[in-house]
Amino acid sequence: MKAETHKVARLHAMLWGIFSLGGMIAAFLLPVLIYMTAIAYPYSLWPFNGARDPSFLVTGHLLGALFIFVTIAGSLYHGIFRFQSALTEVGLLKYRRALEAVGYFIIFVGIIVLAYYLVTWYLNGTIT
Amino acid sequence: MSQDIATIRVTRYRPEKDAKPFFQEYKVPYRHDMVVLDALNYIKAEIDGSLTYRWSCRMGVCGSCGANIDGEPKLTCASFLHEFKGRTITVEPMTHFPVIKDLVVDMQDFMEKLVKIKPWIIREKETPPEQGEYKQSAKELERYSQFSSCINCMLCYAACPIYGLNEKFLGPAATALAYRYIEDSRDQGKEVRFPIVHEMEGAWECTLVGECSVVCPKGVDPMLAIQKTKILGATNAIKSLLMPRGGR
Amino acid sequence: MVDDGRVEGVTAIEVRTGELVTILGKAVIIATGGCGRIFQFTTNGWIKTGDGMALAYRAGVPLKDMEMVQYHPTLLPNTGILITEAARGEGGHLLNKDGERFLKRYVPNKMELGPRDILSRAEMSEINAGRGFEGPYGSYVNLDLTHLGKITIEDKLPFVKELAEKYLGIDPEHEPIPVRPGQHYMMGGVHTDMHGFTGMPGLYAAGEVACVSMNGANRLGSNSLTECLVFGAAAGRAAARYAVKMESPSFGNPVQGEVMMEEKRIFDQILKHEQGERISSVRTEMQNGMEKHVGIYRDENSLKEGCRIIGDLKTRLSNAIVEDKDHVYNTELVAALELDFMLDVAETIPYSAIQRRESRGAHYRTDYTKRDDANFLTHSMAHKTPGPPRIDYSPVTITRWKPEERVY
Repeated sequence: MKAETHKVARLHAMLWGIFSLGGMIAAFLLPVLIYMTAIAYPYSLWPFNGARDPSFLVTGHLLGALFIFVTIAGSLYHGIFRFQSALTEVGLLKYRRALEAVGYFIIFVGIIVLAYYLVTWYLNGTIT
Repeated sequence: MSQDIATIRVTRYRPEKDAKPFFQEYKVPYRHDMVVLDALNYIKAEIDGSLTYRWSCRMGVCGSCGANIDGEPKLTCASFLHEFKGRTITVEPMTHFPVIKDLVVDMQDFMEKLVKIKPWIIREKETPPEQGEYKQSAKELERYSQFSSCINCMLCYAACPIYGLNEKFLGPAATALAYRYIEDSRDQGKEVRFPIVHEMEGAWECTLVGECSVVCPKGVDPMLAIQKTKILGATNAIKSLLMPRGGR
Repeated sequence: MVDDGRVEGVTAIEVRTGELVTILGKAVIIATGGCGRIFQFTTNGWIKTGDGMALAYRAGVPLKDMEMVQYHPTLLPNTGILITEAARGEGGHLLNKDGERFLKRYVPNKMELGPRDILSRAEMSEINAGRGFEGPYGSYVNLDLTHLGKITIEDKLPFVKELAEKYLGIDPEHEPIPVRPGQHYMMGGVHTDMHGFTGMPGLYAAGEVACVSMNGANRLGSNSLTECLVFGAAAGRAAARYAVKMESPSFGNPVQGEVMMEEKRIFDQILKHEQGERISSVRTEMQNGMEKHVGIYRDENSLKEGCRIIGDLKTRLSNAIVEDKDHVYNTELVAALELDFMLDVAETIPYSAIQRRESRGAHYRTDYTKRDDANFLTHSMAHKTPGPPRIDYSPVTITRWKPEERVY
């Protein structure tokens, strides 16, 4: 028998871990975000029963910015990763490398842009 | 138990005679308790001795009689004819496998995959039988017992669109079997098996379609095994990133 | 393949291509299981066609105690699927047409927990007395689990429930399961010593195919595992010890000749016939004939009839046709070769049984209902001859447990 060599897909494993865990966390956070922006604010329910508007989510506290970051980045990552899988399932496997490139491009550009804004706001004092 | 007539359309392909597969139709009298396999046996015994298919146990244990029945991968021994009453039943070889003849497919690829995952208990050091068994509690057995019910019928491969696209994919049954040993408290072969299931062509190809678990005639859930294998892979990868030396 | 009395390998068919393949070996271990398909009703898989028994028998090794055929009392009548003993162990009842637990007339002290052979005979007696049910697949009795309740059935007998539902469309919680006795196991087989050695240099056997004589005339449940695990290992070790000291066989003249003869037999005889009857009709008649005449109850006349039928069928098989002429995956040719094996093996059963003028274990003669230790505490040995098998006897070795009368 010839010697076996198996190349463990470690990078893919980690990306899958982010996809899986990030997606799960985003799934928990997304309803919270929807509650805040689509229900609580328009109807002046807690925590918007004062004068605050949803921008305080980002600007009120560093944790708020982190919350927004994880929700958006996690959803984006999960959505696009899953979309790639769906394309694979319908038989576009031979374009996978291209699909992956496009997918990861969207994911990383999206995340970097988001991070850029959050970081600049933090640095210029918009986020306290 | 009255007798009805079933119309059954079977794929025929004899590589020495036929350029390409075609359908042949047979009429088979049947009773309420007869299955598709009974119909095939009737055809072979009474109408056409050259019809070729595989079977042995007729009770869902040997796993050799799989076919696509009306497009769905099923065991012919476990599909009643009366369920198709009034319709023509189409019986084709399992999808995604090269056809050798009529309903017989080439299992070579699957056989190689089965061996590849080392489906036996690996011990760092074997102890002779005189020193007693490798013991296990009922709870430890429970962790993997469903995955040991696999009968290697390959229906899950016929149902898996990913395997259909990429035959290098380790696939449902083989991964589930690997996971059965990974979860077995008596097994010490994780170091050997992890690299096999955590290759790109191991569990990672799976996109969670789940058809494998739907068609399994023995109630095995290969999708769950693949998912759990992926979780192990991801935690291992993160561990090895955080602890490059001692992580494993 | 035998060269100068020594077994040096096997010829086989690569079913995928139809090619005849020669596999040389210093030693050969036969582990092909039983031959249930000789009978009409059997729990065995389709592939249990006695090939290994026939191979050894043709090579010159006797088949021992072939008249000892174990019947199991609870098979589904249409498929022969086995309903486990546990169904009775958990309290299931066997009922005849009158709804009566008929076993009280046969094994009043054990009832449903009585031994397989006695229960099987009791069922047949009921059926013969007209107290069975009539179904599309012959007569049967009922195995009633309905009084056990949902919980017992689901927790203790899930596979029984699954089989009844999947293969009969019956829910055992509400309806009785139709059952009948059928062939289950061959106590007899290729004669071996306790190391799996057949007496012919290089040839070993283990498992149901072998008769190491641990089952006597009636196997107890689960002892087949002992045959498989303990004597399988013993045969493996003995064969390895033998192989180490032997030189590798060469593809010499006698061996090559045998292969050529086999090739000729297959391609110039079996596949050549263009007209004749189907092999399936020969097979069905063998199965029905064996069941009827060499089954649970036997007597001089039925066994004579059994011998005659098998003899006739052998002639008919030699003129039967194989419709499929392909080389690739020719399952019909395989079936023809298997039937040829089965007829050889089947023949040894009535011939061995007719000479055992007593009843012992699984072998029951209505004309000699008593056990006769004075004359028949002995193993029958069937030897292949150009004509019918020659039966002689070898002594039984009795060690710790003396034979006693069976009382239930």
